[in-house]
Amino acid sequence: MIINIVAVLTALRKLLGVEMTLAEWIGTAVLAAIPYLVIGMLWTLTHIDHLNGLGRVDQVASLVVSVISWPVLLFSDVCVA
Amino acid sequence: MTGTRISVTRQTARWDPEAEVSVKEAMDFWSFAAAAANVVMQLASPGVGYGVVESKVDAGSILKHPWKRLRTTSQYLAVAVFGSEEDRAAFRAAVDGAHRQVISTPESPVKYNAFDRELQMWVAACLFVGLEDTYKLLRGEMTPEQAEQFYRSSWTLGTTLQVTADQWPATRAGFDAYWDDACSRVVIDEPVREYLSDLINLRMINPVLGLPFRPLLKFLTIGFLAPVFRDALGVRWSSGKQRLFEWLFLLVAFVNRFLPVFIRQGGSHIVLADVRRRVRANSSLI
Repeated sequence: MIINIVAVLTALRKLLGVEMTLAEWIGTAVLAAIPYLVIGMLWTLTHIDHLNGLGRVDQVASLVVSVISWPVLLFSDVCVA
Repeated sequence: MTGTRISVTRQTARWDPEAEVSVKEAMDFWSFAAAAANVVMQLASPGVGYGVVESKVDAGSILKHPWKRLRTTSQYLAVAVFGSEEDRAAFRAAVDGAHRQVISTPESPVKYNAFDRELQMWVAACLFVGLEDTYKLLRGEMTPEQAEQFYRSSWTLGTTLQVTADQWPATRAGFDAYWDDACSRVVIDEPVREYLSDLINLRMINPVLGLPFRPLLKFLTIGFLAPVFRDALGVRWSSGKQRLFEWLFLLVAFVNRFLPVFIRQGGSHIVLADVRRRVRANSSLI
């Protein structure tokens, strides 16, 4: 298959030239955050053993941090309480 | 003549009052909420109504091949609004092939021919009205200058087929006069009413899929019909439903502002890419 480099570049320039409003950026960020947070919640729900013995406030804080920072927690055993 | 357009008392404020506008911005996917209402409006002209109901082109029938018809109609809009001259020429050739078979017989209640430029102008006018209504609900009222720009950018809705540029009234005010006059000839006879009833009640798709959407589609369809079409179709509307309709679109308009263009209009670009692929592969467009 022959790729027409000029056409690809034209399409790329057009794509990079798209302007978005601030509202659209916010919406895009929210949409991108949904799968991230869903994974974070699933990961947290399967890794809650360490919560036993913590106070109520610490438990909530620990859950929130765990949902947000699940990629870090995948590779390291940081204690987020 | 009054009652030829929907009237809305609560609608979103404009966020960009000075901006240049174009019919392209009306192609956000929510606009397809008005699709069935647009079919009703188009078929309310007897020449179009009987032409569609009596059509022998089963491959293009929305009742026989609803999903295919959804694709081809959305592709027509994408080509007319976003397409190049070449895209439009290719699509015109394909539609002409089907339209050639749509001509009245001696038994037909009215005389019609799918190449009739007046009938095509009516259909294009309905498409414009549908897009203008949805655009205003999603983006807010336009200034007179913006309304002219928007109107002028919509002409390809008709000129993609046999409508000529000089058939479109030159100004937006001229269009209102054309529309009011054309609406005075709106009639929905029994065969056309039955056809439209099947469509609005989604009798052409699997009931498991269709039944849950039936109340919503009915609500949206009647909501997007101006009084003259509601009367012709014999459906009722209330001030309570109108209130709900307006609140619904205030919410939709707010959400829509936060959606990036590739979500709002991505569908149209995907079906346009499919048109170009079909043209390259020499496979049938419609």
